[in-house]
Amino acid sequence: MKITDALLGGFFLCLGAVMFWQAAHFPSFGGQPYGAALLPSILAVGFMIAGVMLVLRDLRARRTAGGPLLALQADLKDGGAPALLAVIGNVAAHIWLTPRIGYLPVSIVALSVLFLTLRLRPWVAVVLAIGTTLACWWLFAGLLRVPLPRGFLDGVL
Amino acid sequence: MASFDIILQALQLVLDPQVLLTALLAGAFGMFVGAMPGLTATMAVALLVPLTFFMDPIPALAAIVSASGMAIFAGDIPGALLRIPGTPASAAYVEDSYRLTLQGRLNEALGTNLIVSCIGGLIGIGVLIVAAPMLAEFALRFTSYEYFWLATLGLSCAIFVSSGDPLKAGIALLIGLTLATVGLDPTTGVPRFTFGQQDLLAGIEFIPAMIGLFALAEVMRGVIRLHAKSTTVDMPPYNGPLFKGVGGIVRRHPKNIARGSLMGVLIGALPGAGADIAAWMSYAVSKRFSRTPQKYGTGHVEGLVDASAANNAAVGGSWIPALVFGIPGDSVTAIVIGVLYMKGMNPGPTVFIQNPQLIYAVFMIFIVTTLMMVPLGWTAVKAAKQVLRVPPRVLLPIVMSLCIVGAFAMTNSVFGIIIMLAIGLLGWLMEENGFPVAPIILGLVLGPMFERMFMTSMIKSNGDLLAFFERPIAAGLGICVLLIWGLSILGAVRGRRAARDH
Repeated sequence: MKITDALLGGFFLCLGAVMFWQAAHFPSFGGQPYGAALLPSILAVGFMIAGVMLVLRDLRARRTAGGPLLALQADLKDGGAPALLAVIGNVAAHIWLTPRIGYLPVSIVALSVLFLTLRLRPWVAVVLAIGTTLACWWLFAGLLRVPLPRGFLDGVL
Repeated sequence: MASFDIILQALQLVLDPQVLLTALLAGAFGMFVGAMPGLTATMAVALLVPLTFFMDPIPALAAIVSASGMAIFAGDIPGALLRIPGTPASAAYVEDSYRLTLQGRLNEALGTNLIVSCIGGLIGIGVLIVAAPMLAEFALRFTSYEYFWLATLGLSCAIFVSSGDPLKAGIALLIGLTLATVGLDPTTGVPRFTFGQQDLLAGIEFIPAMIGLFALAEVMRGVIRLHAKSTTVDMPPYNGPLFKGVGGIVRRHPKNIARGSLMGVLIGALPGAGADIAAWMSYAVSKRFSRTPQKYGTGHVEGLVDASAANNAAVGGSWIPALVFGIPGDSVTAIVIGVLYMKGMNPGPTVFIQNPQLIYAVFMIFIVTTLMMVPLGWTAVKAAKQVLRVPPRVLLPIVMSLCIVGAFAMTNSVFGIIIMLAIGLLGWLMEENGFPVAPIILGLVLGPMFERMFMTSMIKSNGDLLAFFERPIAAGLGICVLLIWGLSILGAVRGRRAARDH
């Protein structure tokens, strides 16, 4: 997704201002003029200066070239957007559902959906999703003892 | 110079079958990732780190060294076969190697790539072995002022060396440094930018962030591209011995190998510049001094020799500032520094005194894995036909799964996945809009050191900025930083004026 530098510059300018305001509220260290706020304040000023420079540079270029403020790239328009959303949705599903339902079912279902979105044949998608999930489980939960959530399969595993 | 006893101890650490097996497996993994177009050497390392978390320091480092070196060579394979560089480090000479393939000289191109990469890698390690302990001895006298300037130099190079747009690189660096300030402040213990979240008190976990930036963002880009173009590729036929005629090429170009390797080490050692910049620059220098510059880009081996020596030599070079000062030479060594801290081997000159056997073990691992590159590379070239047939629509979701479990493993909670997703989205959006992402990781890694040294120096000098220039080395480094900034700003102003006049 293409966002123009002018909009991004505005965003960084605001980010710098909010950071500066936040940093001003950090408690100071007794008797010491330099404390927790020093570096964040310097960084905030950096964001504000860089933001203004980005805006000015873009406005100057825009005077001659023009163009929209926000544009979707060709490949996002050509059907890339659902694939991107499927990846983001997949990771988000792991975040919200894994602690409740368990890693194995969430991963198998979410991966199958992603493979299907990428236009794999249904049976290939399901077989690959099960294979990948079991391989990850074996490597991380089995060999490396990572406590991947078991969810309702706790008693079975 | 290290005593015989230390070298023997290091040898024992390295010759452990577990270490060798880890290096071999990680090397094979690196070969696979490097050979897949779109997946980089940094990504190979990023995906490996969650596994190295559970290993002893030596096998962990062996895995990283092996995977990164192999991935950089393997990037040459799809470059020669399909004209798609497997990693950015192979992009400089992709035209030459592909044209050689079209002339029926594929084995010559890839055989030369492999042997010269190995020689370049060994020269890089040679320089690392000689230079690092000497620099470390020198660095023992450094105080917070010198370290502050070194960190600043590293951060400045990240802006001016690595990107076409210094302003955007600067913003990326500010983002990295800001992310590094999240959590408890190191000097006063005040929580900063935690928004009441318990999980953020310990700061942004470096490894999930890096997996997000280098692996998840790449998966996002990959799935979008899937729809944009056809993914089936035609591969030229190739058979016969890989190394036929390579000996002659190596014998005819000793100067190119030496020049490429030395440039590779030097550029690799520069903070912020890695194997890809080394390859581009040595290719350009090679062309400039060649008797037949017009042949470059038409299937000529000369530039290929220079650049493939340079990109592998850069791997050794980038470890010099990482081991001696704790300042990363490129994004892979930024990850290495994170791993070293995780393993209690805090990088810096003292590790050369306290744990010299570990440092010498790292040197030996470098030699072993570089030599291992020849048989592994041979296998990879022979297997490339099958490997390159794995369609991205199968590969990318598998990589995504590895990202998810890897990020989870770093925090043992979904918090790791949250960090990965947030920073992966940020990285994707930034790259879409022309912001480089490597400075974010440099800022995140160097941030805590930069702030600690800055605050210590400020408190020591009671806020007197001139104290930063009072010690001779600090003054030298400080002037270097100011010169880099001054010249870059001057260059930008002149460039703008020239553009306006034009």
